Amino acid sequence: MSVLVTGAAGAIGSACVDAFASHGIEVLAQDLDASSLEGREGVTPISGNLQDPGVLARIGELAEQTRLTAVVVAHGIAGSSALPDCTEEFTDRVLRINWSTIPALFDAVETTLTRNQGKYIAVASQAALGGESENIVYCASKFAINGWIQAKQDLGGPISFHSICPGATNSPLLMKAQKQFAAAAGQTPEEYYTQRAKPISLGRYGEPREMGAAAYYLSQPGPKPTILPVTGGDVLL
Amino acid sequence: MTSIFSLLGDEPVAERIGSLRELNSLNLIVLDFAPESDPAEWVYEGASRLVRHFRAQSESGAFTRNRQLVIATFASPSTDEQIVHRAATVQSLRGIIQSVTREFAHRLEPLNFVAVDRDALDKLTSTLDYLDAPDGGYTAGFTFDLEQEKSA
Repeated sequence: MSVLVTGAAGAIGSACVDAFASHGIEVLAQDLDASSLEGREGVTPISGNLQDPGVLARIGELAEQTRLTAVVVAHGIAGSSALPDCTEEFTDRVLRINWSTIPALFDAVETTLTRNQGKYIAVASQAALGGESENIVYCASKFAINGWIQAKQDLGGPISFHSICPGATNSPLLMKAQKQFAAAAGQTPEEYYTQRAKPISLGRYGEPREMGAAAYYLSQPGPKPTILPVTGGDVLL
Repeated sequence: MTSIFSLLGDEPVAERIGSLRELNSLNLIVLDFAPESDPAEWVYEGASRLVRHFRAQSESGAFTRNRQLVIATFASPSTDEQIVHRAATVQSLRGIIQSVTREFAHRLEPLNFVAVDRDALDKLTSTLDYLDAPDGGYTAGFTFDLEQEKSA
């Protein structure tokens, strides 16, 4: 029995790897460069681009060999940009990586997940729950994920579909973006953090391990929410 | 003077929508997802074309002059694949509408989105009547998924 985690070298992805590995579950850990995951017991690193049909085919084979029961789709790229700066190249890149790989990866593992009555869990974003200024293309890609997940779940069948919508999370990706936001607003990163954390009911950003815990929870048997906001109370559904 | 933009699919679909009623204030932006097109490309095609169009609109200042209504038309889904990609596409376009509404706050004329089946275009008339009238504008940013509402 195994679980596939994509974007496994990233903050949320590696937290998902930790969550499953700590429960003794074999993890197939994909990332563009998964070498940082080499040598970990129970973790099989898979380096490669999910836009490459050869990589998808390899994942499909490994899924069969290891009796895959769950997928956590945690890869993606930041996509903040004001509308006037959304070039065609930028739009193409965000949509192709954040959205198009989601159903393509599913096609590669569908047969195995169907046989094992597995789970397909996508890490979307708080930006999938409400539109955000200067985040148009990112929102388009993440809203699409939630729409697809909900429709797949509504159709029924042996596979369960879920989406995790993390709010602001302490990850290098967000911290880097936040430095830019802070500079644009004439603030220090600390001032920006304080302002951004203020409307969050828990008064702080989420931690990657909390997203990993959510992924593990959704992977377990029994009824679970289809869309799970992990936002510290910033978004309430 | 209002305009009709056909960004995707069959031009006649946009023309049919434009002929439903005389418009006072609405610019119509039509994305037609033709039955023979690949559903797996709907999100990408719809989102990339709408972002490109809105980017041009923002440069010309059109958002501040006209109300905008995005209309996505779909063939009645007959396969599971079409059903899930229709849902993903509607959500993706909804995300764009909400984000643009937020980004252009206070500088924006009302912006809305309607999703409708191709064979039910006549059902658009009352929605166009409502959104083309001044009092319909306070729904800015909302998505009218007419097929979802029919089945609800």
